[in-house]
Amino acid sequence: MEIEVKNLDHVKIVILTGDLNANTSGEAETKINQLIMGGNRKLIIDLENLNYISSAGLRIFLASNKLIRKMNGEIRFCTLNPTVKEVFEISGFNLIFKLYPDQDSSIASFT
Amino acid sequence: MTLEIANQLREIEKVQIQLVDYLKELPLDDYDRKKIFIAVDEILSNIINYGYDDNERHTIQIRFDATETGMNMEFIDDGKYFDPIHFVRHHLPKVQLDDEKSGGLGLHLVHRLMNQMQYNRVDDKNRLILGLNYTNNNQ
Repeated sequence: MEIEVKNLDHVKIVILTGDLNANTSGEAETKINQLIMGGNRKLIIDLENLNYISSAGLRIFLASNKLIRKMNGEIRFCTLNPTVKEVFEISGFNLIFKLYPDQDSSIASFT
Repeated sequence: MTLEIANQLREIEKVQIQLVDYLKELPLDDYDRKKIFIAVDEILSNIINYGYDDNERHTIQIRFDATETGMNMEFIDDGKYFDPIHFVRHHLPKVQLDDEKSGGLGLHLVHRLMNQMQYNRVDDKNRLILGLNYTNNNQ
């Protein structure tokens, strides 16, 4: 799992590359929560390069979203590949999170 | 291909590494390949996290059996009785915005992503068989 963070003026973009599963989700959760605890209130998670996501990965998104909402922030997602999109739909994540087809539209949504 | 791992989460990676090579030779697309990885991760992590009440070392056996049109996966463990098919039929996935626990979500994912799911208890062991029909053979 590779985790890259892009810093924009008003938003942080977290780009996840690889597999988000039972073994890697802890590392991703730590990084995302560090950003939240560092005062970032607008996070975009880019999933274009995510190979696959399991329920362990979905749970960290729920946990991190719970944390950021306490601080009046929000996590949004962009560029879901077909497999990740199907997992989001099966689990109902497409109904509880805002999803965008690309980075530009997700950035614009926060302005 | 038959593999055996210990009941430790880090052992799942060993299966995934073997699986990458095994799947290279098969006529399945990237979409189906990812479904197999998700199913393996969910089933093994479920067995390891919830299958045992002791701290002993246990062995989990996984068998992959590829055909021309699909893949069968068999998981055998000596953990406590657990019928995942009964579970998904009687527990709706409860995903809520503020609830990261959302128990059972992984089994529901497997149930939806796979085409067949069979369970039986044999010789005091759980035996789960998953079947995936390759998407490029359904079209």
